[in-house]
Amino acid sequence: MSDNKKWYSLDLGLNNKKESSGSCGCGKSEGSCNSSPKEEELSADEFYEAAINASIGEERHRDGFEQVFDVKMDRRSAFKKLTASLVIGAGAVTTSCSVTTGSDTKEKAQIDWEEQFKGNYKLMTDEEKQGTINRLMRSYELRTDKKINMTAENAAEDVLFGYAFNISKCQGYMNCVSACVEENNQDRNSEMQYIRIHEMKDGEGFKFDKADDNYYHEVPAEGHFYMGTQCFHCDNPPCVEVCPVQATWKEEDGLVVIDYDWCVGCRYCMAACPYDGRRFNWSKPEVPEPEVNKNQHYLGNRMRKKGVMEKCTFCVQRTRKGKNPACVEACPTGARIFGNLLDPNSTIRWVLENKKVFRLKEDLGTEPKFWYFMD
Amino acid sequence: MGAFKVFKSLVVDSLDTITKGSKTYHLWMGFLTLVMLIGMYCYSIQLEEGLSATGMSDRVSWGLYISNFTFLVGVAAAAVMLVMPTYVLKDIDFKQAVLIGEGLAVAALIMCLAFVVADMGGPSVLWHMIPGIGVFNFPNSMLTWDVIVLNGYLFINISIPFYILFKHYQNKEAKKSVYVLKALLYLCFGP
Amino acid sequence: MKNRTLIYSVVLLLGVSLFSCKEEGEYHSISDKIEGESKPYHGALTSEQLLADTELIEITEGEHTFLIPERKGQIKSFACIECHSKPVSQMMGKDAPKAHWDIKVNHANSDAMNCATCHNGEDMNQLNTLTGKNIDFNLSYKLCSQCHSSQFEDWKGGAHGKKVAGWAPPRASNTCVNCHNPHSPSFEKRWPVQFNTKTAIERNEGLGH
Repeated sequence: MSDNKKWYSLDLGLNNKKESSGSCGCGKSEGSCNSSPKEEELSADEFYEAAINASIGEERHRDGFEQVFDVKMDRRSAFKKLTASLVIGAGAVTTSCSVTTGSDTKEKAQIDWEEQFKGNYKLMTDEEKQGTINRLMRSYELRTDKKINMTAENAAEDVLFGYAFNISKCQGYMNCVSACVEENNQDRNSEMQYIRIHEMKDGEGFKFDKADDNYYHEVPAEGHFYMGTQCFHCDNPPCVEVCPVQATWKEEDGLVVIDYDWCVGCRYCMAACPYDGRRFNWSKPEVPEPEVNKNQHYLGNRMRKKGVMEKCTFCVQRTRKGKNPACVEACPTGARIFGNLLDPNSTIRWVLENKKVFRLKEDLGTEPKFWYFMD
Repeated sequence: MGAFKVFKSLVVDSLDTITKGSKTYHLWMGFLTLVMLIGMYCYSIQLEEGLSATGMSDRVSWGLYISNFTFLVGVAAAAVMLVMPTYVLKDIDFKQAVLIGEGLAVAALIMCLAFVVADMGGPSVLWHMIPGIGVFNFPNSMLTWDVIVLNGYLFINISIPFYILFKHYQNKEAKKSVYVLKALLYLCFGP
Repeated sequence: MKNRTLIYSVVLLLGVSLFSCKEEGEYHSISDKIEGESKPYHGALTSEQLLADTELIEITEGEHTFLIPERKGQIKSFACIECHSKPVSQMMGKDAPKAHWDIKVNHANSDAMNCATCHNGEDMNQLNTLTGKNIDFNLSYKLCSQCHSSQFEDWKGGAHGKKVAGWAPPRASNTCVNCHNPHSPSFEKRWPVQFNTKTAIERNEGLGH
């Protein structure tokens, strides 16, 4: 795993990968409770020393604290140190270890426990990915008695998704917004929306501060034009850089995605995004059960929890199957073009090569894969 | 006497000292405890409802928590700056201020970390940030710099006064070379 | 001891500042990346399965070859000659059954267009061009392109109009009449389907403060 990783992580020189013990706190042997590649435990206070240690590298001879750090710990003792997490997990353990509770409750607690201590999706092997989506599907079934279908397709080869938006075509009907909300199981309580349609005055250019993105009148309004914004899936995404735990990253097909279970909710990415593309679950997101879109992807529209970031994923659950994103499909005017930038015969390529295209805030160097053009 | 035994008796004696005092002292401590309990209750509400309880929204995504955090970082830095002249001027008498100054820095830093944790959407998964078992996106993420600086600074600020107190408790002279060295580290870590 | 710690801290700082210089990506910009990575292209995903239920016909216009939905099967009262057994001129009159009463032509103006601009009054199963050449109902875009040439160019390339199913090849694009009613082609004014009450409340509160 660590041979071909594309991100930088501080190598502490201690990562002798250990055979995973495969057992978790409650004694179940199947599945994995934590798939992190590194097993050794460092407390935050000790990190300073470790950083010195790492920066010196091989030249350093063995001294006191190396001996301390060289002690290998198994998962159980590592977890014991995570008191904060244990507070949450404790409830699950007591339930799962009690003999009197029903098997469903026990299984639920077991799943909760394993989900609490699973690793970062980005670092998971395909089997581990399958394991977590199986748990999530089972968990949903146990909770609601309804089945969902969740997948974990990886990026396909030779695919780089791109999007083009025709400003002269958009009439501001907002069918895209409502399709997006339904497709992506966005919180109905806070009325979260990934897409914003800005109503701008003709002849004044793109003035987002003067534009209205929450109009309600007959459209298209006289003397106005409409422009949609959402996550632009930048090729050089600032939100990915700032995440302290790498809970958000760019996939091979160019999608900038979030592991909702790995996100710690610091909202740094929200501050870093120059396009207001990210949304935060300020409270528990709720979707009435019958309205839940049951075709889900781990990185896409599966149900989120409170306190995590989310955003447009170009409908990863659809696009990795060859479909168009929900907004593209819903647009009644054909203002939205979606396709594979690497396919020389794709329509998106024709648009980029033959129309006068531009992107928002191009000078920032974020390289959005979302172009605007006019007829 | 072993170091551990000394430590144990230091802790016992300290507890003894801080629980004795005048009525006003106890009232004041009681009041502070009440404030803490109110704070913990409010935090439990936030854990239950999510960060919406704070009134923050997508428009104001970083609020009072973060501003308090930055303020307290300033306090911690100022507390140590107050202490610096002792080391620089080698003023022996002023050394008594060192303990108070660094104690204040420790308090401020603990509050800093507490504010950051309170600002997190998922405090139960903060272990994701611990290098080794989690993923620590250093040096790309500025937040990880914060974590390192705060924890390193906290470590130094705890260890120096503790070292001095520990020696003082045993009626021994603290070795200057040890804490001056650590004081120099301030210059590297000073916020 | 003292010196070593000092060296450690200096090296730490240096190391950190070195690491913080981000590695430059392979490509300078997204257009370079597209150029660099699209050759050779072996995309494997197809939308054939998604298109399985739709009857499609392949057309070639200029350098573009793609699929469009078959039309004649979608028209309710095709074939037209089932009723239009005689030329239109002979069918018009008091006794003839009323049909197409709901169709109002709202396309250009009456100086430029009437029914016969597109429909062949002599052979109702066919459309006709401005010069009277017969056009199949399946290829009605050929009529539109007579006037709307810039839209036609964009449509051929893929900048105008929508795909039938997905983004993946083979390309299947909707044709003009799948979105535009040929008798009244422009989109009408209407209310947006979505309104965010929470944002509205938030904005109002913001104004009050």
